[in-house]
Amino acid sequence: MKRSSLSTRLYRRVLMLLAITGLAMGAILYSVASVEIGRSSDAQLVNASRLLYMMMQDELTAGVMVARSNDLAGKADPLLSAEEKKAFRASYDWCMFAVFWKGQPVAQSSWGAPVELVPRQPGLHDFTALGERWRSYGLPGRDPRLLVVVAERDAMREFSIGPVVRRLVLPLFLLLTAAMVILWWTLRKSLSEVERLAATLNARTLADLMPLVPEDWSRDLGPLIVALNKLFARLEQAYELEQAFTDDVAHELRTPLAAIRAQAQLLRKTAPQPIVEDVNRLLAVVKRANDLVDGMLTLARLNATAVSVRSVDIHALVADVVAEALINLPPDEIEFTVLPEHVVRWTCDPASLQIALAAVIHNAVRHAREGGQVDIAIIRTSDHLVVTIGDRGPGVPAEDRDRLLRRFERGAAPSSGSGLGLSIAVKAMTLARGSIELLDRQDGPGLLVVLTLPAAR
Amino acid sequence: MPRLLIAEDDADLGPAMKRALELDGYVVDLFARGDDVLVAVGVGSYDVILLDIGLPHMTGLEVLRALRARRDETPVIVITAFDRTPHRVAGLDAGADDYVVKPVDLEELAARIRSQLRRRERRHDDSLSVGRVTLDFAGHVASMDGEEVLLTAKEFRVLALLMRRSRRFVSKTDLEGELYDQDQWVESNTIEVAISSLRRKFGRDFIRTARGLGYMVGGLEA
Repeated sequence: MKRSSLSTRLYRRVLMLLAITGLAMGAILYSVASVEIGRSSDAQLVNASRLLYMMMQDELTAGVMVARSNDLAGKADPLLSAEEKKAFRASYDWCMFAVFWKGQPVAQSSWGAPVELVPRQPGLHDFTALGERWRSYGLPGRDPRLLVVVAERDAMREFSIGPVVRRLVLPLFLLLTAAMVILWWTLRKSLSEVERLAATLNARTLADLMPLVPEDWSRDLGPLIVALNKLFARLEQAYELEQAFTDDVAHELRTPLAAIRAQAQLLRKTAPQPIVEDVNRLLAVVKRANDLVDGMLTLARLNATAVSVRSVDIHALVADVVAEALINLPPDEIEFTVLPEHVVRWTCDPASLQIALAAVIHNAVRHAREGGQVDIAIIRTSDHLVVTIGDRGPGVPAEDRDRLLRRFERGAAPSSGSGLGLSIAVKAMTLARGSIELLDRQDGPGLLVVLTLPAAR
Repeated sequence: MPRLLIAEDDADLGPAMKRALELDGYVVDLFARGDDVLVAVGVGSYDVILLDIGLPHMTGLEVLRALRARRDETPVIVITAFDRTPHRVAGLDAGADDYVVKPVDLEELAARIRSQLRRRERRHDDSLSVGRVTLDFAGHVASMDGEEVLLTAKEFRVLALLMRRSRRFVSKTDLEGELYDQDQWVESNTIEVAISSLRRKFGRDFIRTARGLGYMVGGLEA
């Protein structure tokens, strides 16, 4: 799983939650508002009906309806004058009305739904007319035979919600955008603590197993810090066990070798000449066994080597390794050349580079014996440091090169090597984040070993 | 006749070292237990102690600390199979004069014993030895195998710097710097001239060289 996906997923989910909450709030507000609008519209209908009833008061007290009921066929006075109808329309121009006497229409507006379709009951009612939904209110008069009904289109009520929604769109959009930005920022800020932890751990060297201080970190990371510290403690223990084991191995292997060597050297001091030759051969075998033990221990310890990167004078490092090799060689056996003659600084882990250089130079010395010449060059470019070690030995055929970099593989030429030297160099270079390559020398016979280190991050 | 004490618990290695050193003319006492060493050193006087670290009953380091605690300054060469830097540091911190890793080459061990004996003789004088060559800074005299060798002032300075930094390369620039404050002017071949003169006097192999690195003394023959 990608490292960023946790925050992205969290962000997506919280945004989704925010959107759902927003929509739900909108829906609730909409329904509450529409109920409220419906109620206030209904109240207006009631008011309109009362107004109309009030307008008819004069005619009613004059006994128009009584006269009408007595003489249904005769022409009676109208219940509402033309002026009164106009006045009603001026106040409630979206409402139609109808007045019923004993269920029969006696007055009605000249607009709106046909009077036959208007419900003739008191109270609020819905009906359909002219292909539209209508809402009506029936107000019974003091005389229950009289019913005043006022109606309006449902569309009139919904019309008032549209602009509200339209006005809300921009502020809602701004609010949502702001919420998104603030949410993302908060999330990044909270997760930056995790990134800081990762950076701290990445900056550590392999052998730096110091526990993390819980107070340095936010409390949310507490369990993680505790778990990491437990892991560090276990690693430290394993590391110490491995060190103790290699120390024991070193002791157990070297002590009998030391005894054999001492006995052989003692024998060489006292024995007659023909035996001395045999003893020398025995001592050479002891040296080989010792080189093997050294190599195995170096390889084993490289597994638990502390890598610490710093600015190093590569020229001085090469000088130390060459001095160490030269000290153990008879005079004039090998001629070393190092180019350039001055300080070359590079940021790398000096310990692993030194182990790699020592292994390669040791190898070059062993194979250069016939040629007697080892040429070392340090080349620094902007992004790489290259150290080449060339000998004048028989070289290595191209098809054998990969094999030679593996453990216990020896070249074709008879040699006393342990077969570990180049694999030590490979491992040490890997540890130093570099690489090793075997090439032919361009300026004559011999093997050229190329150690390459990239620029430190 | 110098007296040596060997503390080594390996039944094969201890007697072999003892016999080899006896053949070299030393009087050698061999002990296998750490506590025995302390008793023996308390009774007799030794010129050099060869101390194994992994001794039974009392480790070599404990013996060494106990010795130094009672102000016994006998030179101690630690001989051990433990070769990691922390071990070396612990040994030298405990008061060891030298540190040798098994399997020890008996000839190298003999050379190191001789070196400790020489140091013991001139613990208070101001001199420095590499192999057969000794520089006496107080008398400004160089000698080889005890015989005085005449040197010019420049040669003495060059040799002194090489010997102070024995077993490491000294660059030509550093050698020129050593001469600079004396003469104010160092000719381009001054160092080469001094080196070839020193090689005539002490033997060609005494000073080793590598092109690009400089010069070095100390090595197999030293």
